Amino acid sequence: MRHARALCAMAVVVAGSLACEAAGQEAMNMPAATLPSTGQLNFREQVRYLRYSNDPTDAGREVDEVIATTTLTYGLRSDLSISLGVPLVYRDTEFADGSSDSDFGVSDMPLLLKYRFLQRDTGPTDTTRAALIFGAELPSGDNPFSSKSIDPMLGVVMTTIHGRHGFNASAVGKLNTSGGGNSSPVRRGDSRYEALFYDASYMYRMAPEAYAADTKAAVYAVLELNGLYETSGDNELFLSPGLLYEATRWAAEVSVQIPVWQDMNARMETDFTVVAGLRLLF
Amino acid sequence: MRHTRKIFAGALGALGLTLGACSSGGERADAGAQAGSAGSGDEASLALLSGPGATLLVHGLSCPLCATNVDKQLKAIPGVRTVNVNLGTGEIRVGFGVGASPSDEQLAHAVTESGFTLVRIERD
Repeated sequence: MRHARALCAMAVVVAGSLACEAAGQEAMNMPAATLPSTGQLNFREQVRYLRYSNDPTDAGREVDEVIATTTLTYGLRSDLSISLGVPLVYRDTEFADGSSDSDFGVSDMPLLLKYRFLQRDTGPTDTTRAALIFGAELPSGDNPFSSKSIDPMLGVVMTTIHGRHGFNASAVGKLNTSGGGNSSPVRRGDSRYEALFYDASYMYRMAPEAYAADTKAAVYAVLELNGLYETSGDNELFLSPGLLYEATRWAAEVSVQIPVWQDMNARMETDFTVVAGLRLLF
Repeated sequence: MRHTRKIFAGALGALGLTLGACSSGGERADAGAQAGSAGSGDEASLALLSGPGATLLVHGLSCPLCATNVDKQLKAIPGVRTVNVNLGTGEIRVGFGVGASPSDEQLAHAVTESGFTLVRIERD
Protein backbone atom coordinates (compact mmCIF):
# COMPACT_ATOMS: atom_id res chain seq x y z
CA MET A 1 0.00 0.00 0.00
CA ARG A 2 2.81 2.35 0.92
CA HIS A 3 4.55 1.62 -2.37
CA ALA A 4 1.35 2.30 -4.30
CA ARG A 5 1.08 5.72 -2.64
CA ALA A 6 4.68 6.45 -3.62
CA LEU A 7 4.04 5.53 -7.25
CA CYS A 8 0.86 7.60 -7.38
CA ALA A 9 2.57 10.63 -5.85
CA MET A 10 5.37 10.43 -8.36
CA ALA A 11 2.90 10.15 -11.24
CA VAL A 12 1.10 13.27 -10.03
CA VAL A 13 4.37 15.17 -9.81
CA VAL A 14 5.38 14.15 -13.33
CA ALA A 15 1.92 14.96 -14.74
CA GLY A 16 2.03 18.31 -13.01
CA SER A 17 5.13 19.19 -14.96
CA LEU A 18 3.21 19.53 -18.24
CA ALA A 19 2.81 23.32 -18.01
CA CYS A 20 6.45 24.17 -18.29
CA GLU A 21 9.25 26.39 -19.38
CA ALA A 22 12.79 25.27 -20.04
CA ALA A 23 16.29 26.37 -18.99
CA GLY A 24 19.00 26.16 -21.64
CA GLN A 25 22.71 25.45 -21.29
CA GLU A 26 22.29 23.98 -17.83
CA ALA A 27 24.00 20.70 -16.98
CA MET A 28 22.22 17.95 -15.08
CA ASN A 29 23.81 18.06 -11.63
CA MET A 30 24.80 21.68 -11.12
CA PRO A 31 23.41 25.18 -11.66
CA ALA A 32 24.11 27.54 -14.56
CA ALA A 33 24.15 31.33 -14.81
CA THR A 34 21.17 31.29 -17.20
CA LEU A 35 17.77 32.54 -16.09
CA PRO A 36 14.23 32.48 -17.47
CA SER A 37 13.14 35.72 -19.09
CA THR A 38 10.92 38.20 -17.22
CA GLY A 39 7.56 36.70 -16.35
CA GLN A 40 8.49 33.25 -17.64
CA LEU A 41 7.94 30.09 -15.64
CA ASN A 42 10.40 27.17 -15.86
CA PHE A 43 9.37 23.70 -14.80
CA ARG A 44 11.85 20.88 -14.46
CA GLU A 45 11.33 17.28 -13.41
CA GLN A 46 14.33 15.17 -12.54
CA VAL A 47 14.41 11.59 -11.24
CA ARG A 48 17.49 10.14 -9.52
CA TYR A 49 18.32 6.61 -8.47
CA LEU A 50 21.07 6.37 -5.88
CA ARG A 51 22.72 3.47 -4.11
CA TYR A 52 24.66 3.91 -0.87
CA SER A 53 26.90 1.54 1.07
CA ASN A 54 29.81 1.47 3.50
CA ASP A 55 27.76 2.57 6.50
CA PRO A 56 29.93 4.28 9.18
CA THR A 57 27.43 3.27 11.87
CA ASP A 58 27.06 -0.19 13.42
CA ALA A 59 23.78 -0.76 11.56
CA GLY A 60 25.59 -1.93 8.42
CA ARG A 61 22.99 -0.35 6.15
CA GLU A 62 22.73 -0.59 2.40
CA VAL A 63 20.37 1.99 0.96
CA ASP A 64 18.61 2.53 -2.35
CA GLU A 65 16.86 5.80 -3.06
CA VAL A 66 14.64 7.24 -5.77
CA ILE A 67 14.32 11.02 -5.66
CA ALA A 68 11.89 12.88 -7.93
CA THR A 69 12.52 16.60 -7.75
CA THR A 70 10.17 19.17 -9.23
CA THR A 71 11.71 22.60 -9.58
CA LEU A 72 9.72 25.72 -10.39
CA THR A 73 11.68 28.79 -11.49
CA TYR A 74 10.14 32.18 -12.23
CA GLY A 75 11.78 35.17 -13.90
CA LEU A 76 11.20 38.21 -11.67
CA ARG A 77 13.38 40.38 -13.92
CA SER A 78 15.69 39.56 -16.76
CA ASP A 79 18.54 39.38 -14.23
CA LEU A 80 16.69 37.94 -11.22
CA SER A 81 14.81 34.68 -10.76
CA ILE A 82 13.33 32.72 -7.88
CA SER A 83 13.09 28.95 -7.65
CA LEU A 84 11.62 26.32 -5.36
CA GLY A 85 12.55 22.65 -5.48
CA VAL A 86 10.38 19.92 -3.96
CA PRO A 87 12.09 16.52 -3.65
CA LEU A 88 9.99 13.40 -3.16
CA VAL A 89 12.12 10.61 -1.75
CA TYR A 90 11.57 6.87 -1.59
CA ARG A 91 14.20 5.02 0.42
CA ASP A 92 14.78 1.28 0.84
CA THR A 93 17.14 0.28 3.66
CA GLU A 94 18.57 -3.15 4.34
CA PHE A 95 20.36 -3.74 7.63
CA ALA A 96 23.20 -6.08 8.43
CA ASP A 97 20.93 -8.16 10.67
CA GLY A 98 18.75 -9.01 7.66
CA SER A 99 15.91 -6.63 8.47
CA SER A 100 14.75 -3.95 6.09
CA ASP A 101 12.75 -0.76 6.10
CA SER A 102 11.33 1.69 3.59
CA ASP A 103 10.40 5.33 3.87
CA PHE A 104 8.64 7.80 1.62
CA GLY A 105 8.36 11.53 2.08
CA VAL A 106 9.38 15.04 1.15
CA SER A 107 12.92 16.17 1.73
CA ASP A 108 14.00 19.71 2.54
CA MET A 109 13.21 22.25 -0.17
CA PRO A 110 15.65 24.80 -1.56
CA LEU A 111 14.12 28.25 -2.07
CA LEU A 112 16.69 30.26 -4.00
CA LEU A 113 17.13 33.60 -5.72
CA LYS A 114 19.55 33.88 -8.62
CA TYR A 115 20.90 37.32 -9.53
CA ARG A 116 22.92 37.71 -12.71
CA PHE A 117 25.58 40.36 -12.12
CA LEU A 118 27.67 39.78 -15.23
CA GLN A 119 26.57 39.47 -18.84
CA ARG A 120 28.88 39.73 -21.83
CA ASP A 121 27.25 38.64 -25.08
CA THR A 122 29.97 38.57 -27.73
CA GLY A 123 28.29 36.80 -30.65
CA PRO A 124 24.98 35.36 -31.86
CA THR A 125 25.33 32.47 -29.41
CA ASP A 126 28.52 33.35 -27.52
CA THR A 127 28.16 34.65 -24.00
CA THR A 128 29.76 34.82 -20.56
CA ARG A 129 27.56 35.21 -17.52
CA ALA A 130 27.88 35.04 -13.76
CA ALA A 131 25.24 34.96 -11.06
CA LEU A 132 24.88 34.94 -7.29
CA ILE A 133 22.72 32.22 -5.76
CA PHE A 134 21.25 32.92 -2.33
CA GLY A 135 18.39 31.63 -0.25
CA ALA A 136 17.72 28.79 2.11
CA GLU A 137 16.80 25.13 2.32
CA LEU A 138 13.38 25.03 3.97
CA PRO A 139 12.57 22.16 6.29
CA SER A 140 9.88 19.74 5.17
CA GLY A 141 9.68 18.35 8.72
CA ASP A 142 9.29 14.88 7.22
CA ASN A 143 11.25 12.18 9.06
CA PRO A 144 13.81 10.89 8.24
CA PHE A 145 14.41 13.26 5.34
CA SER A 146 14.35 16.66 7.03
CA SER A 147 17.00 18.59 8.95
CA LYS A 148 14.12 20.47 10.61
CA SER A 149 16.02 23.74 10.31
CA ILE A 150 16.12 26.64 7.85
CA ASP A 151 19.59 26.39 6.38
CA PRO A 152 20.91 29.46 4.52
CA MET A 153 22.65 28.96 1.20
CA LEU A 154 24.99 31.27 -0.69
CA GLY A 155 26.96 30.69 -3.85
CA VAL A 156 28.19 31.86 -7.21
CA VAL A 157 27.98 30.33 -10.67
CA MET A 158 29.60 31.18 -13.99
CA THR A 159 28.61 30.09 -17.50
CA THR A 160 30.53 30.72 -20.70
CA ILE A 161 29.60 29.55 -24.20
CA HIS A 162 31.82 29.87 -27.25
CA GLY A 163 30.85 28.13 -30.43
CA ARG A 164 30.19 24.48 -29.69
CA HIS A 165 31.78 24.62 -26.24
CA GLY A 166 30.12 25.51 -22.98
CA PHE A 167 31.62 25.67 -19.48
CA ASN A 168 29.97 26.06 -16.10
CA ALA A 169 31.56 26.41 -12.67
CA SER A 170 29.85 26.90 -9.32
CA ALA A 171 30.39 26.89 -5.58
CA VAL A 172 27.46 26.91 -3.16
CA GLY A 173 27.69 26.76 0.63
CA LYS A 174 25.02 25.64 3.07
CA LEU A 175 24.95 26.49 6.78
CA ASN A 176 23.24 24.06 9.16
CA THR A 177 21.54 26.31 11.71
CA SER A 178 20.08 23.67 13.99
CA GLY A 179 23.32 21.92 14.75
CA GLY A 180 21.22 18.78 14.76
CA GLY A 181 19.45 17.34 11.78
CA ASN A 182 19.39 13.73 10.73
CA SER A 183 20.86 11.36 13.30
CA SER A 184 22.04 9.00 10.56
CA PRO A 185 22.29 11.08 7.39
CA VAL A 186 22.40 9.38 4.04
CA ARG A 187 22.14 12.07 1.36
CA ARG A 188 24.67 14.67 0.42
CA GLY A 189 24.41 17.75 2.63
CA ASP A 190 21.92 16.17 5.07
CA SER A 191 24.31 15.88 7.98
CA ARG A 192 24.53 18.37 10.86
CA TYR A 193 27.68 19.83 9.38
CA GLU A 194 28.14 22.76 7.01
CA ALA A 195 28.50 21.81 3.36
CA LEU A 196 30.25 23.25 0.32
CA PHE A 197 29.05 22.03 -3.07
CA TYR A 198 31.55 22.69 -5.85
CA ASP A 199 30.91 21.77 -9.46
CA ALA A 200 32.24 22.21 -12.98
CA SER A 201 30.92 21.07 -16.34
CA TYR A 202 31.87 20.99 -19.99
CA MET A 203 29.14 20.83 -22.62
CA TYR A 204 30.02 20.05 -26.24
CA ARG A 205 27.41 20.52 -28.94
CA MET A 206 27.64 17.34 -31.00
CA ALA A 207 24.93 18.43 -33.46
CA PRO A 208 24.36 20.58 -35.34
CA GLU A 209 27.89 21.48 -36.30
CA ALA A 210 26.74 25.05 -36.91
CA TYR A 211 23.45 26.74 -36.11
CA ALA A 212 21.33 27.78 -39.09
CA ALA A 213 18.01 29.45 -39.79
CA ASP A 214 16.19 26.11 -39.60
CA THR A 215 17.88 24.84 -36.42
CA LYS A 216 15.23 23.42 -34.11
CA ALA A 217 17.26 21.18 -31.80
CA ALA A 218 20.74 20.44 -30.51
CA VAL A 219 22.46 17.48 -28.86
CA TYR A 220 25.13 18.00 -26.23
CA ALA A 221 27.64 15.65 -24.62
CA VAL A 222 28.13 16.72 -21.01
CA LEU A 223 30.90 15.92 -18.55
CA GLU A 224 30.64 17.16 -14.97
CA LEU A 225 32.74 17.08 -11.84
CA ASN A 226 30.49 17.28 -8.78
CA GLY A 227 32.15 17.71 -5.40
CA LEU A 228 31.08 18.07 -1.80
CA TYR A 229 33.07 19.02 1.29
CA GLU A 230 31.46 18.88 4.73
CA THR A 231 32.95 20.30 7.93
CA SER A 232 32.85 16.79 9.37
CA GLY A 233 35.86 16.24 7.14
CA ASP A 234 33.90 14.17 4.61
CA ASN A 235 34.81 14.64 0.96
CA GLU A 236 33.35 13.19 -2.19
CA LEU A 237 33.88 13.86 -5.88
CA PHE A 238 31.89 12.43 -8.78
CA LEU A 239 32.58 12.23 -12.50
CA SER A 240 29.26 12.61 -14.31
CA PRO A 241 28.97 11.98 -18.04
CA GLY A 242 25.63 12.69 -19.68
CA LEU A 243 23.64 13.61 -22.75
CA LEU A 244 21.30 16.55 -23.26
CA TYR A 245 18.85 16.83 -26.14
CA GLU A 246 17.44 20.32 -26.45
CA ALA A 247 14.60 21.34 -28.77
CA THR A 248 12.88 24.71 -28.89
CA ARG A 249 10.15 23.75 -26.44
CA TRP A 250 11.55 20.80 -24.48
CA ALA A 251 14.74 19.08 -23.44
CA ALA A 252 15.60 15.59 -22.19
CA GLU A 253 18.62 14.73 -20.08
CA VAL A 254 20.38 11.61 -18.83
CA SER A 255 23.44 11.34 -16.63
CA VAL A 256 25.31 8.96 -14.35
CA GLN A 257 27.41 10.00 -11.38
CA ILE A 258 30.42 7.80 -10.65
CA PRO A 259 32.50 8.39 -7.51
CA VAL A 260 36.17 9.11 -8.19
CA TRP A 261 37.10 10.15 -4.64
CA GLN A 262 35.32 9.46 -1.38
CA ASP A 263 36.70 10.05 2.10
CA MET A 264 33.66 9.54 4.29
CA ASN A 265 33.44 9.10 8.06
CA ALA A 266 30.12 10.69 8.99
CA ARG A 267 27.93 9.50 6.10
CA MET A 268 27.51 6.53 3.82
CA GLU A 269 29.32 6.40 0.49
CA THR A 270 27.40 6.76 -2.77
CA ASP A 271 28.06 3.82 -5.09
CA PHE A 272 26.52 5.49 -8.13
CA THR A 273 23.65 7.73 -9.27
CA VAL A 274 21.53 7.53 -12.41
CA VAL A 275 19.71 10.68 -13.45
CA ALA A 276 16.96 11.32 -16.00
CA GLY A 277 14.96 14.47 -16.50
CA LEU A 278 12.66 16.59 -18.60
CA ARG A 279 12.49 20.31 -19.21
CA LEU A 280 9.28 21.28 -21.00
CA LEU A 281 7.74 24.32 -22.66
CA PHE A 282 4.15 24.70 -23.80
CA MET B 1 15.88 -2.90 -3.16
CA ARG B 2 13.59 -4.61 -5.69
CA HIS B 3 10.83 -2.08 -4.89
CA THR B 4 13.21 0.86 -5.38
CA ARG B 5 14.20 -0.33 -8.83
CA LYS B 6 10.52 -0.79 -9.77
CA ILE B 7 9.72 2.72 -8.59
CA PHE B 8 12.64 4.17 -10.55
CA ALA B 9 11.57 2.27 -13.66
CA GLY B 10 8.02 3.51 -13.20
CA ALA B 11 9.18 7.09 -12.84
CA LEU B 12 11.30 6.78 -15.98
CA GLY B 13 8.31 5.36 -17.82
CA ALA B 14 6.19 8.30 -16.73
CA LEU B 15 8.90 10.70 -17.89
CA GLY B 16 9.04 8.87 -21.22
CA LEU B 17 5.27 9.07 -21.72
CA THR B 18 5.33 12.77 -20.86
CA LEU B 19 8.18 13.29 -23.30
CA GLY B 20 6.27 11.48 -26.04
CA ALA B 21 3.18 13.59 -25.49
CA CYS B 22 5.12 16.81 -25.25
CA SER B 23 7.38 16.22 -28.24
CA SER B 24 4.43 15.61 -30.56
CA GLY B 25 2.72 18.67 -29.12
CA GLY B 26 5.94 20.59 -29.53
CA GLU B 27 6.17 19.52 -33.17
CA ARG B 28 2.67 20.85 -33.75
CA ALA B 29 3.57 24.07 -31.94
CA ASP B 30 6.75 24.41 -33.97
CA ALA B 31 4.79 23.92 -37.18
CA GLY B 32 2.46 26.69 -36.07
CA ALA B 33 5.39 28.93 -35.20
CA GLN B 34 6.74 28.51 -38.72
CA ALA B 35 3.55 29.91 -40.29
CA GLY B 36 4.46 32.88 -42.43
CA SER B 37 7.36 31.17 -44.19
CA ALA B 38 7.03 29.85 -47.72
CA GLY B 39 5.69 26.40 -48.46
CA SER B 40 1.95 26.19 -47.70
CA GLY B 41 -1.26 27.90 -48.72
CA ASP B 42 -2.01 28.97 -45.15
CA GLU B 43 1.46 30.45 -44.77
CA ALA B 44 1.14 32.35 -48.08
CA SER B 45 -2.19 33.81 -46.94
CA LEU B 46 -0.62 34.84 -43.65
CA ALA B 47 2.21 36.54 -45.53
CA LEU B 48 -0.31 38.56 -47.56
CA LEU B 49 -1.99 39.69 -44.34
CA SER B 50 1.31 40.80 -42.76
CA GLY B 51 2.73 44.28 -43.02
CA PRO B 52 6.39 45.20 -43.06
CA GLY B 53 8.70 44.26 -40.26
CA ALA B 54 12.16 44.58 -38.83
CA THR B 55 15.32 42.54 -38.53
CA LEU B 56 16.98 42.52 -35.15
CA LEU B 57 20.59 41.50 -34.60
CA VAL B 58 20.84 39.91 -31.16
CA HIS B 59 23.80 38.44 -29.28
CA GLY B 60 23.89 35.79 -26.54
CA LEU B 61 21.09 33.53 -27.80
CA SER B 62 23.25 30.45 -26.98
CA CYS B 63 20.72 27.62 -27.57
CA PRO B 64 17.36 26.58 -29.14
CA LEU B 65 15.50 26.93 -25.82
CA CYS B 66 16.88 30.44 -25.35
CA ALA B 67 15.60 31.39 -28.81
CA THR B 68 12.10 30.40 -27.73
CA ASN B 69 12.37 32.78 -24.77
CA VAL B 70 12.93 35.81 -27.00
CA ASP B 71 10.28 34.54 -29.44
CA LYS B 72 7.63 34.70 -26.72
CA GLN B 73 8.70 38.13 -25.45
CA LEU B 74 8.52 39.63 -28.95
CA LYS B 75 5.16 38.04 -29.75
CA ALA B 76 3.75 39.68 -26.62
CA ILE B 77 4.20 43.10 -28.29
CA PRO B 78 0.94 44.35 -29.85
CA GLY B 79 1.30 44.37 -33.63
CA VAL B 80 3.95 41.65 -33.83
CA ARG B 81 2.62 38.79 -35.94
CA THR B 82 5.58 36.55 -36.71
CA VAL B 83 9.02 35.94 -35.21
CA ASN B 84 11.72 33.86 -36.88
CA VAL B 85 15.01 33.36 -35.07
CA ASN B 86 18.22 32.45 -36.91
CA LEU B 87 20.56 31.06 -34.28
CA GLY B 88 23.39 30.91 -36.78
CA THR B 89 23.52 34.65 -37.48
CA GLY B 90 21.67 36.06 -34.45
CA GLU B 91 19.14 37.69 -36.76
CA ILE B 92 15.53 37.77 -35.63
CA ARG B 93 13.02 38.59 -38.33
CA VAL B 94 9.95 40.25 -36.78
CA GLY B 95 6.86 40.54 -38.98
CA PHE B 96 4.26 43.16 -38.16
CA GLY B 97 0.54 43.01 -38.76
CA VAL B 98 -0.96 45.24 -41.43
CA GLY B 99 -0.94 48.80 -40.16
CA ALA B 100 1.07 47.93 -37.05
CA SER B 101 4.46 49.42 -36.26
CA PRO B 102 5.87 48.58 -32.84
CA SER B 103 8.50 51.07 -31.77
CA ASP B 104 12.21 50.41 -31.54
CA GLU B 105 11.89 50.89 -27.78
CA GLN B 106 9.30 48.12 -27.56
CA LEU B 107 11.44 45.74 -29.58
CA ALA B 108 14.57 46.60 -27.60
CA HIS B 109 12.73 46.17 -24.30
CA ALA B 110 11.51 42.71 -25.32
CA VAL B 111 15.05 41.59 -26.18
CA THR B 112 16.41 42.98 -22.91
CA GLU B 113 13.63 41.34 -20.89
CA SER B 114 14.56 38.06 -22.58
CA GLY B 115 18.08 38.38 -21.17
CA PHE B 116 19.96 39.01 -24.42
CA THR B 117 21.82 41.91 -26.03
CA LEU B 118 20.30 43.90 -28.89
CA VAL B 119 22.99 45.03 -31.34
CA ARG B 120 20.85 46.82 -33.95
CA ILE B 121 17.42 47.10 -35.53
CA GLU B 122 16.91 47.37 -39.27
CA ARG B 123 13.45 48.30 -40.47
CA ASP B 124 12.03 47.42 -43.86
